[in-house]
Amino acid sequence: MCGWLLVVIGLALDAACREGAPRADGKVRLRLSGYAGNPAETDLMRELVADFNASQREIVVRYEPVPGQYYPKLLTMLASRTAPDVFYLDILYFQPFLAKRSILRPLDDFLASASTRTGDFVPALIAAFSDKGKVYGIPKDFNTLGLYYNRKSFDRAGLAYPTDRWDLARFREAAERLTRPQGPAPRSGFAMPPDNADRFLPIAAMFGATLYAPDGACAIASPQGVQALTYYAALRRTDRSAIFPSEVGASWTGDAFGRAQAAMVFEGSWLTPYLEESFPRLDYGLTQLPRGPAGRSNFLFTVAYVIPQSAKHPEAAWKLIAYLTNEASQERITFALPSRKAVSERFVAKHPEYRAILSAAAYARPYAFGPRGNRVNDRLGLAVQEVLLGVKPPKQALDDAAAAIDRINRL
Amino acid sequence: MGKRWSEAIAGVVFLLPFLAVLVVFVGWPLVNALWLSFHSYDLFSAPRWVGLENYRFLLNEPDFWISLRNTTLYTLVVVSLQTAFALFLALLMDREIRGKTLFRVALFLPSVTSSVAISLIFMFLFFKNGGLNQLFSWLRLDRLLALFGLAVPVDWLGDVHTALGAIMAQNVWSTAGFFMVVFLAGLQDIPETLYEAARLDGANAWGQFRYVTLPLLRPTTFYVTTIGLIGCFQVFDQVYIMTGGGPLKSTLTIAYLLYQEAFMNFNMGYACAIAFVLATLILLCTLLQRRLLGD
Repeated sequence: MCGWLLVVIGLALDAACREGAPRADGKVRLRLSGYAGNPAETDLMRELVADFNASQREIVVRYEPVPGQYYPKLLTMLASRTAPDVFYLDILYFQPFLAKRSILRPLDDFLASASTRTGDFVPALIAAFSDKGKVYGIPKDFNTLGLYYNRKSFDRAGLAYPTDRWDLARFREAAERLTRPQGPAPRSGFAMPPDNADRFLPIAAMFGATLYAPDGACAIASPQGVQALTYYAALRRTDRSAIFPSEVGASWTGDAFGRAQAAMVFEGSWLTPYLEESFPRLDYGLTQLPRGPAGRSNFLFTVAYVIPQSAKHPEAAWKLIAYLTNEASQERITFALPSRKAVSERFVAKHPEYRAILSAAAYARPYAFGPRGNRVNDRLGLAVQEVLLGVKPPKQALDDAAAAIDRINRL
Repeated sequence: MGKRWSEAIAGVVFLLPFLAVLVVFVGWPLVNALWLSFHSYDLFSAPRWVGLENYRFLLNEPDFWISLRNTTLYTLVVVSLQTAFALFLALLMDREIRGKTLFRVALFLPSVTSSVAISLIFMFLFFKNGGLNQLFSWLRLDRLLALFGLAVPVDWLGDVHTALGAIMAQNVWSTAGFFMVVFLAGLQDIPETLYEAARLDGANAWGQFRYVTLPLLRPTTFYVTTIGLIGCFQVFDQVYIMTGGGPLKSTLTIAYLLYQEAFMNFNMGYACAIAFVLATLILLCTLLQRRLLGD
């Protein structure tokens, strides 16, 4: 009995998912999906979609944010032909998605005729979602990493606030002096994720290391890479000035910073609305990441709207994208920098505290590592974790990672 | 003749709904998965025949051996502990003690609670500034932990040496109640007369347990260990919620590896190969168990 019920429910769901033909009211129905990141973002998306629906007579959009594991869900929907008509695509996943030939729809035919001009956007962002002269996604906003610091902690330690002229040696020294392991309110200089490469990779580049050699082989185990990982791990293992968020019951590094348990973190401007909401009394500043021996480095974290090839109404989907990325909509962004050049400059003029994030965009590179970039990123995170936990020395961890990454890319 | 036929037809008709469900949701996926395990398939391009390549890759993949080692260790420890613990609880609950029903309900509750909710609560206990460390320091046992080479306070889920053990402890706690009820049912089945006879022959409490209770509980024990073993080999949700296979793959289990390959990396053929190796392992272990415990 129960089994039959399942079959019936399954058939009903299947019917519900087949949304090809317009309904009785003659409107085209679209679904828009993205990950449910911070509440400020989902609220804005809801408002934008409501406004778009009010402005359209032929199109109705339903916004379906995905909590939790976004990419497994998205790829499963794509494979079962139930994908949304417009969805978020992170820069790290652009090339992996492109490698699966049948997923993404190029947008050039729309761009040729529409009022959206790619020249209005930050060039690196458009380039990041282009391949062989074709544009596949319109970036919705972007971020780089900045150095957030707790003013009170600096005052208490008698240190001057960080500036964008700081270098890595100065940063390390400050982290050490800000660390007070004993006492009723223990605090540390820095908080780092335990198993993630995205704080280590900018430092690697500051030392002059590159992930790939010109021939495509993984080059992260170069002397510069090893130096960088040695520096990064020393913050925790030698100086004991860096904590993992879980050690203080925090859910992520930004949370540990908000609780004033770490005086500095490397975060994107997604941290600002989080702090305003959860820790409104925290007195903090934001500046560019310190310089390394080989100069400045940073990464662009960005997400684009894309249309899958399976979308039944690509013109309507494009209308939605054009609306979500037009100047008026971009003016309403508060949790990241708008991807339009003019809007992001106006944004920073209005909110000068974001200047550091925008300045870094001038030299930041996209956080993307090729057609298997997501797995490469995971493998690098493992190497960082091996060193942070003291299981392997930096040289060996990076040698192993480089070999594994070459294998991943050859698969 | 006519009656027998109509009975047979009636029987088939009654069975049909269940058979159909079995074929659609179990039989067909099973055959399909076996077929896919000989293919390279990413859900987007058509499956490509690769023969035994997936299985060969599996045997050369360090992650598979790590997950096999973790899963085996996990199963051995959890099945023996949860069986012993459940039997112990059942023997306690079988006596006439005050508030017996309350205790039984309390012990059974974890098995009707969502494993995700339990995992989240245990995460709070296992945090560095969580309940478990507070308990240890209150009992002044933290020095003992330091003797084992652990950094006190211990980050239970973040330490390579303790993460798997923490998940084991959680699972023993949450499943013992269910198996206790099974053992209780087994205990009710043992006739009181046997105990009387044993007592007449001069058997003490241990003798009665060793020579009456244990042998007669054998079918129950077989059931408990088999179900426990299958559950342990497939452990997934606790790992997914609490550690995500980390730190450093110390809690990577076969089922989690399978999930990663299937739904993160979309190597469906390879994931199917892992599934069949896992199924074969469970089958072999169950057969071995039947040899040891079965009648």
